[in-house]
Amino acid sequence: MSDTEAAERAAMPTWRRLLGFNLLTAVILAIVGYYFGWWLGNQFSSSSRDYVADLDYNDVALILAYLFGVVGFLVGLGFANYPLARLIGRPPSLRAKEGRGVSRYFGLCTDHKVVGMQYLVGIGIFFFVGGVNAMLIRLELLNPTPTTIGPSQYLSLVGMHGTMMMGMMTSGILGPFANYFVPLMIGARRMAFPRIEALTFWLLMAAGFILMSTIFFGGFPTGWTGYQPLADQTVAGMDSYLCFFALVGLSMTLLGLNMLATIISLRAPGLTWSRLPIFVWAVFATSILMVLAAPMLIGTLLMAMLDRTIDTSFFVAGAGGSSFLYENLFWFFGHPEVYVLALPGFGIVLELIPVFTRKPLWGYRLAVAGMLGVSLMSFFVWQHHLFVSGINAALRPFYMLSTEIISIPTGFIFLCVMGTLWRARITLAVPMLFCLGWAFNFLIGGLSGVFLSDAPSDTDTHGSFFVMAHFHYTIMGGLIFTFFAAIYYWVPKMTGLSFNERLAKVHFWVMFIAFNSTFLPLFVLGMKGMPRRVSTYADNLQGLNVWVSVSAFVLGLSMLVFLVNLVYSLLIARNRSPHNPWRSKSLEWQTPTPVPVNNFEQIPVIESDPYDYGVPLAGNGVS
Amino acid sequence: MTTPDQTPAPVSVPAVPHGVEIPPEPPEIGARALYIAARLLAGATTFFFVAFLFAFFYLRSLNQNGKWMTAHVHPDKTVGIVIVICVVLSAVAAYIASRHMRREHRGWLIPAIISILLGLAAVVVQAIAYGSQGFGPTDGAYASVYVGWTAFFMVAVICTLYWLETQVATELRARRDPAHSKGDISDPDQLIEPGLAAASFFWGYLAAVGVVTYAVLYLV
Repeated sequence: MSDTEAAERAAMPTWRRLLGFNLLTAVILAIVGYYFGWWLGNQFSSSSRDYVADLDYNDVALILAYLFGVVGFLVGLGFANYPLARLIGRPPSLRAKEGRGVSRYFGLCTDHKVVGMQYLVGIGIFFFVGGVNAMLIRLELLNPTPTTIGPSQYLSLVGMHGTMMMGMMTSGILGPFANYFVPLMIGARRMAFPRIEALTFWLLMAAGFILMSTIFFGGFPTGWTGYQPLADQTVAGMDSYLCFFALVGLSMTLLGLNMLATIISLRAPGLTWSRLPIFVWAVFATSILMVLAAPMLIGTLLMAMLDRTIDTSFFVAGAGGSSFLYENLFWFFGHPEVYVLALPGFGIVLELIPVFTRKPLWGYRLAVAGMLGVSLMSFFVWQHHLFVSGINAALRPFYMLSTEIISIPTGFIFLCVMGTLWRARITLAVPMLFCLGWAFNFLIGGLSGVFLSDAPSDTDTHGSFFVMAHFHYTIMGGLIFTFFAAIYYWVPKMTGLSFNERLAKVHFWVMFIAFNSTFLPLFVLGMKGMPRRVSTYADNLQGLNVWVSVSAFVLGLSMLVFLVNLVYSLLIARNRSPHNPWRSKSLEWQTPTPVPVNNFEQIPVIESDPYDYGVPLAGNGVS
Repeated sequence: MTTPDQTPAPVSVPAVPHGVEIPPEPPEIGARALYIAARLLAGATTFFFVAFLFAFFYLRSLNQNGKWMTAHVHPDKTVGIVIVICVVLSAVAAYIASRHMRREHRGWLIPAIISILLGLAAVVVQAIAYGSQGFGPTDGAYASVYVGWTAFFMVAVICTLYWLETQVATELRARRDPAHSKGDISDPDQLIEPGLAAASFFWGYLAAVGVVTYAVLYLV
């Protein structure tokens, strides 16, 4: 939108501005689409209805309702306009609704910086919902027998928490930070496919609301893995899970594809592969996983939907299917998914540490090899999730070994972090604190993973709180700590405003201590045999559980500290951030704040790598 | 704010001041992105269909309760061959169209339109097959894989045909009314050729998937 168009639009009466393709229209069309799908689906009968004959729905109706609801939502936002225009021969174009003003954040906008901000807020909201679920879980676990929440509601709550976190946070770093900063870091004016970039965000938001709607349909008892045959037999809330994850898979695939196409085709002159910022390499490695693993998830969930709607028998043993098929297919996606969560965190740590140590990144090529190695090897380890699920015993050694070997490329990354920290003059700014927190947490997460990759010890710990402690150390300790490092590091660039440092440090220390106080005892609880996803446990474990719950509440409190800081610093105090507060040499910090729509007047030419800190006569490598 | 204290001081990159017009982007940039995206899309699609391939062999080898392929489930091979022939010929026609386009031969539209019609014929034949084959999705594991795999293959075919159609429609419009450089791409009609090349590449890849699909479902 040009300045003149924006001015004309601002002069319109409010009712006129509400007409057209925007969020309001999208919500209205989503509701219309939902009820149309519901009506259409009820024109068909579904024999799956037999499972839940006492409820007024069938699976066909609900899945069609979600499908048409999402289509209506996207049409309302304006996503159908361009494909229809192309269908009748209109020439291709790149941009839509890029302009100024707050309204661009509430609809289709192809400016990668706007999409990055949309992701940051959108994912933040769902992260908050997932966090509240976690608090409720810990509230229930204060007592060894069910008190506030019934057993089936507890299962749904655990499922909601896990699915929300594992689904939405797949784009936790790529969504906000890669969308915003990759084009800036590689000297591009845009993403390769700006409309697809916007689509990935709105698909994810639609998915989030679908997942939350599961509470109106009885929830789902399977946890985030959606295991069969339970998933086939349970109530309609399972349809919400299936639609949610299929949409997340689609969003992930498109996001990864767009990132790869951008990094491969839009790099500035001189930005050779060996000069690529390490964060961009992490995004590249993650995107490979997204493009290859997520379609497998989509295929799997579509099979599950067919089982529930038209009564195919992919996973129904009595009719020729197998629930083990689901487990295999799910984990073929599910394990790479873990690295989809972890790799961007590695990238952030490796990107930030040279800035705060004023040293070149130690072992740049080793780190790249490590990330690509993790990415490749993650496709060969999935069966370690099935060690106790009746897989052929002869397969166990292979998957045990492949899982243990994947710790080698992961170790490369750790080595590069340690090598860069070695004898460095470290500036303990808030982003750096979170990076150091990552190093501590991920070490514990990684070491405990070795026990789970080992078939004999996994037999003991599988399905227990030990597993839960492990993956919270890797994912929350790995991803969420780096997520906050990225927020404190890059939000001054995104907004031009700086956080209150004292509150930020309080946030870090409370979060770091409470995180470890919450999850370290879970290893002990797991070793003592406390199972996951069950709200009843032995009386002698109550003391530790109370400790963990109280720590978890403090952990939740640390998020409130962050929220207070966010509101205070960005909305009330609004302290201007210095232009380049960290004196970073990477390209995104060389642009003015706020970054203009087209990023660069002239595409920069890159003349050196971005980590020449402390190298005599090194400039910022840009001309 | 705690700030790392050492130099070098950064030098700003000249950026676009607000209000300054950036010249439209040359079409080569979009062409490169299309080339890469088509190949990445093929990679993603491969893994989507690998899920069905895996399901086929997994369930076939298990043959739970003897219900892999029940007695009355016999897919009509003639139908399968007709679909494969339509798909392969359509992909060949798209390839020919792409080659003609690259050589600046205006006659590329005819093979492109033939390609779309053959692709649509494959979809129609598959739809007829669902109604006439005498088995449905509830008839055991093979029937499930058959229905799921072929249905989503057909969805992929329709999406690819849409992609091809947009190139044809853009060309027809461009011949009547060439696009002007008012937009954000300097000569958007120049993107028809790489668009067609990308679409025909993907269509060729999908035809190969089709050959594998029908070979597995009908012959294995």
